[in-house]
Amino acid sequence: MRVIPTGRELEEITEDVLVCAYCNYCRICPAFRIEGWESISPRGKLYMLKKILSGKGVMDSNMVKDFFKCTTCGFCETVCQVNIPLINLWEKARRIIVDSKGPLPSHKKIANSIGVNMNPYGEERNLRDAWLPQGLKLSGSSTLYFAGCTASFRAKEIALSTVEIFSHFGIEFNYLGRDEICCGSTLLRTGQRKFAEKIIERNVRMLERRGIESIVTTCAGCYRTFSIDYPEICRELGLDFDFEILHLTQFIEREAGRNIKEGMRAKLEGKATYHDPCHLGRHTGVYEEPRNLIKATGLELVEMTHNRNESFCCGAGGGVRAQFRDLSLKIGGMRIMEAFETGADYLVSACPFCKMHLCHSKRVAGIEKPEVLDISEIILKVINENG
Amino acid sequence: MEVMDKFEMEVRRLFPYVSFHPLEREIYSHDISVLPGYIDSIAHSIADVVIQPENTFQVKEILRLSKEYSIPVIPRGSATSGYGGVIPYKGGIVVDFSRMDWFEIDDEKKILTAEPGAVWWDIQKKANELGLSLRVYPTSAPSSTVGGWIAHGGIGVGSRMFGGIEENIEEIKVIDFEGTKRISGEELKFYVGMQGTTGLLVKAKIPLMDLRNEKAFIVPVEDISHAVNVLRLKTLYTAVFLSKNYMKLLNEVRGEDYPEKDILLCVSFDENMERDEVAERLWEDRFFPMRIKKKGPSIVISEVLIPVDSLPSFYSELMMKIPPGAGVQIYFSRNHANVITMIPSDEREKRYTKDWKTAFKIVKIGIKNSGKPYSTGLYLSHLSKKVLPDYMELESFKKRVDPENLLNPGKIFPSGKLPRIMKLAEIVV
Ligand SMILES: Cc1cc2nc3c(=O)[nH]c(=O)nc-3n(C[C@H](O)[C@H](O)[C@H](O)COP(=O)(O)OP(=O)(O)OC[C@H]3O[C@@H](n4cnc5c(N)ncnc54)[C@H](O)[C@@H]3O)c2cc1C
Ligand code: SF4
Ligand code: SF4
Repeated sequence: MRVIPTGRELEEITEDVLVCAYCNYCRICPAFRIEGWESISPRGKLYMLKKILSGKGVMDSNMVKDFFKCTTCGFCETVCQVNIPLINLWEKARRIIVDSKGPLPSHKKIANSIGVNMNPYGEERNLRDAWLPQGLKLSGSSTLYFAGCTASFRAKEIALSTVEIFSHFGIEFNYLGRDEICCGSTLLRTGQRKFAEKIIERNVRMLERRGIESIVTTCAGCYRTFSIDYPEICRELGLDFDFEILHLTQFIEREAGRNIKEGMRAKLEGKATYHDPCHLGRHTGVYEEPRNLIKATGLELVEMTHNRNESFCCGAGGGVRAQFRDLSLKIGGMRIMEAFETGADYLVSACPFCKMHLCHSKRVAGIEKPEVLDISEIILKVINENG
Repeated sequence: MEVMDKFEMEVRRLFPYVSFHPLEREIYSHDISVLPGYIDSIAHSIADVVIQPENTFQVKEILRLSKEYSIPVIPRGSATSGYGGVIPYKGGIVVDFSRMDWFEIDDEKKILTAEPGAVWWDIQKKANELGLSLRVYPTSAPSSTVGGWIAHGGIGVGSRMFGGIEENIEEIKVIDFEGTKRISGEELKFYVGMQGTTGLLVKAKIPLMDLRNEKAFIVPVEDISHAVNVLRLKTLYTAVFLSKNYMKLLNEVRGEDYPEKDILLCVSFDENMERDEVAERLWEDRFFPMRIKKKGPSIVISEVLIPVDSLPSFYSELMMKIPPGAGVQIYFSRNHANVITMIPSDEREKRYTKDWKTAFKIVKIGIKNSGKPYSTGLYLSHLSKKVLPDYMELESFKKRVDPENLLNPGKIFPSGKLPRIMKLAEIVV
């Protein structure tokens, strides 16, 4: 199969591909560390792309698969000798591959599920708000809690904790209920841009109709998508995108951080380590707010070897969990081991997808400690301690 | 059954980590260099198979197969070298040592014992935890390997004080067709810098030093003679000369505000030195000498190793030959300087060939000034006889240990069409 892009796309990626110095600093890539073959490493992929762009290489189905063995975690970008915007490049290249060859089987299944049920999990759309506690008072506030697909269907405890935290601090918020649909992140990360654009347009129109001004997410993937992809794609589609996007950790720090720090009588005991979700850390630069909140609960924060900008991916992103479960669990296992080595009681993250995958990886690794929790659960814990 | 089918069957049976996939083989058949089209068509070839051995037993098996099937063996570390050393010029088995990356530090004896695939910076981090440090390492340390740098030879960080890697090896273990050998002292010259043409390195013992505070500072210099004089007066761990234009290029690609003048970046262990913020930033950036490639998108590099005494005359000739956009970095060892000229270029344009010609011209000027190319590798093997002082001895050693020329053929010792073409090109230049 020949995958040779043309026109603007070609120009855009050729410069980035040619500038690679082949220094191999990007050997730190988690997928490469597990698989050990350069077709999976950033350098190998760039070399492969160069061959293909010059018409000297042919990408067969094995190589297509290898190309998608990337969680789009962005670790490679932090060490790149020549500052190639690699996350962007991987996504552009994926788009090109998908446009000419179609998505990988599991990614196609995700798209089909979104097409029918507006979530990637194949769950019924009208069960999206099933997690919502009965009797909870929602308001027509211009601040929206966007729960996202994973917290709505797979990690409901995060959505629940979030609304309980809001209630505790008397924060009024809006929620779209069954009208909430996937943000499009999975589609974008797996190269299915055209479909993602439709979802994005639909979401933006809905947010406008509901008079939303601020969007609060608990999912790092939703946060990245709303704060980076939406503005860019809306510009291309000629749509207005004028919303404030906040991750729960930013919102809580702003609205109630002081309250948690000073207003609580009881504090939590024990040690916690924080896993920076790639989409919240490296992609969007939110590092301190979650850490401040953990410290505010009284927990002692201990860092893993890889943290902040140099954090190590959980292994789930970029469609890897869906298509290459084994690889994703091995990467997750490495992260779990790092957390274990800190001696922490809790491994705290700020993303339902990370939490889900880290829990799964921990089960597979057969390790007891640390307990994997979302930041919302930790905050709720300290609120509950205080009665 | 065809011979190659039998070979493939045997390889698959013996080794758990093997790839015969065409694109994977292609990916394992390059280094950092990008040659102009015509030369590339002669030099470039693709591995028959890539094997990732996990232990010395498997390395011996690779050599057994190499001999039995008369298939060349091309050792590969991280492929960060740029003289074609890892290119399977005549096809063959690319031996990727990345899975043999074990290392151990004896903190009492201050000795590192490492497998060939161990990466310098992984070692350095561990050594630092133990209060120790590598004495010398290449600036490619975040990825380059122990085996790769020893087999390539060269100077790097720390060389002003400790010399090149060849002066910092206690012992190496090598496997060739005759078996396993422990090598030290005088005999190291048959392996260090020989690019795996005389044997595959499977272990190295390297002395470490105590970890000390590094103080980076800048000495502004009027010209290269001034820089050489400054060096004579100071005891330094590392010394790098950065040309005015190199600084300018850094500012352009990094948005930095470095002073745009010739400077001597010095690193010493002298506790009394003042902290210098610009020097520290440059020192932290030492692993990124190719940042200026961004300007290209390609880059043509010429490296000449020259006695420090000959540096001023070579440098003034160099300045007259290089294009105005080129930058120069000079790494100093005890008595030599590695003059690295970097010419931003574009491999899609005609000037790329011209820039390569300039690179060859620079090597010629270097030789005229008692210098030599940093390495001869594959691309400059036609110069080995001229520039390697012990060439005859090395050649007869090679013939004895590898009579069929299966160990990384074409490297150091000229073979095939490429050296003839390169010789011609040199005459034209
Ligand atoms: C950013 C950057 C900075 C650099 N800085 C320096 C520097 O400061 N000093 C310097 O000297 N060089 C430098 N280089 C060049 C290169 O990095 C070094 O030569 C490096 O040490 C090579 O290591 P490697 O693991 O990449 O080896 P490779 O490039 O894989 O191999 C080098 C040679 O060794 C042979 N070889 C590899 N492993 C073995 C083995 N186990 N047994 C026998 N032969 C083997 C290969 O066949 C090849 O001929 C730099 C390169 C880059 C990209
Ligand atoms: S984004 Fe992450 S997984 Fe993908 S190539 Fe870079 S380091 Fe590897
Ligand atoms: S770190 Fe950057 S320049 Fe180096 S090989 Fe990887 S992508 Fe290329």
